[in-house]
Amino acid sequence: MPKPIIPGLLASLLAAPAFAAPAEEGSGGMPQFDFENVAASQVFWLMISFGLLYLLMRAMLPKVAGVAETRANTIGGDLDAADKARLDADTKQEAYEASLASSRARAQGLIADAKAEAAKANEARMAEADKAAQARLAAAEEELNAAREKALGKLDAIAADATKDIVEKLTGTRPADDKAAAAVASARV
Amino acid sequence: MASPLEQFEIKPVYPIEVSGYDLSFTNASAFMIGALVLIWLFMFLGMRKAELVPGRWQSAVESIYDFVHGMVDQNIGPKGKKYVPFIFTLFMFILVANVAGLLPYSFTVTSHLAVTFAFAALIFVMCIIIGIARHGIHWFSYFLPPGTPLWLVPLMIFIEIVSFLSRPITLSVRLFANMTAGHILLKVFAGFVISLGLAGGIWSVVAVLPLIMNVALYALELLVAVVQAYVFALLATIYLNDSINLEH
Repeated sequence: MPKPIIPGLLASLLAAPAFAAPAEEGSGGMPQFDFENVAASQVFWLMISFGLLYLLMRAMLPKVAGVAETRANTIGGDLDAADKARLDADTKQEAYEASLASSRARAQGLIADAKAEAAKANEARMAEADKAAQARLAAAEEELNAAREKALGKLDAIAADATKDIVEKLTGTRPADDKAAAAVASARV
Repeated sequence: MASPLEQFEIKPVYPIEVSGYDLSFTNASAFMIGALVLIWLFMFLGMRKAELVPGRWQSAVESIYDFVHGMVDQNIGPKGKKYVPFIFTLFMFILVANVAGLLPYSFTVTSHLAVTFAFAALIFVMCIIIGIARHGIHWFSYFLPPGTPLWLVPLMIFIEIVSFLSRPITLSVRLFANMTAGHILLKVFAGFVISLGLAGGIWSVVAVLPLIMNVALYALELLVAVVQAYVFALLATIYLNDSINLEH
């Protein structure tokens, strides 16, 4: 069975491209070279379709180019706006930082003032308190002195009384008040 | 078995004849109009909302536009802005025609020399008109590169004129040959798959090989379809640049 196949195949291969004549056309070979019959109609319809397509494209392409341009402009504009916004933000931040620094300095000044005032007031009150304490100390000392004086005075009387008692016990006679006082005074020194 | 050339046949759908010329609406015309509608829909639906933050579709439209605009800007410079719609249309039309031609049962508009040559001739004529309109008679100095020694002048002028005149031929044949050759190859290998598969026995198994080949070829043809559209548009841009910016 395979015997007749190969020659048949080869024959069809060899015959096909070069020599096979289209059934309808009288002339052999490729339809492309049959210009008399194919050229006019093809060129005519090519002119119509290509010409129409050219007109359509000439009308449509500016829109395509326009979209690309609009896009480029929009992106450029957006970038510019972003740049401007960033610059704006930068200046605003600088201003903010400057005002922050100045208010911090003012606050520091106020604190220092308040501290100084408070210290002054403190000192004044301390001085006053000191003075009051001093005065009270002096008064207390005076009182103490007076009490001591008084106590000392009473000591003389007690000593005279004791002298009188002692003398009375020893001698049986009670010396006079002024004598006893004189004796006490002479014994103390 | 159908010939691999059958796919290139022009079949009239609606016969039209104007003063002896056959201007019938054919399968080729249908695919040209189809490409026109597809590209228009792609552009229209993609740019319907034209938002600042593009969706997927709009991104696709914009990236193709950026691609073409970048190509024109790089090769021509600011003076080329006027020609962006033309190059864009050219690129899109050839790209869609090439890729649509790879669909099964479809017709490849760009596999016909008449079509590719019409494009190349249009670019050729544009180059001459733009060159003369911009530079007047001075444009013809294009054919004499600066700094040519006097004794070489005739030869250089001859070479430059020949290379200028051959532009439309190379430009049109490159696209035509690429598309035609690829499509013939695809059909030939597909034919192998069918005949081997029908042969039965061990041959049916062997048929897998041309099938694999066809898959690989199809991937290559997809690449070729895109690359050739790019090459055509790029060369058109470079040729236009020669007329817009005279180097001397």
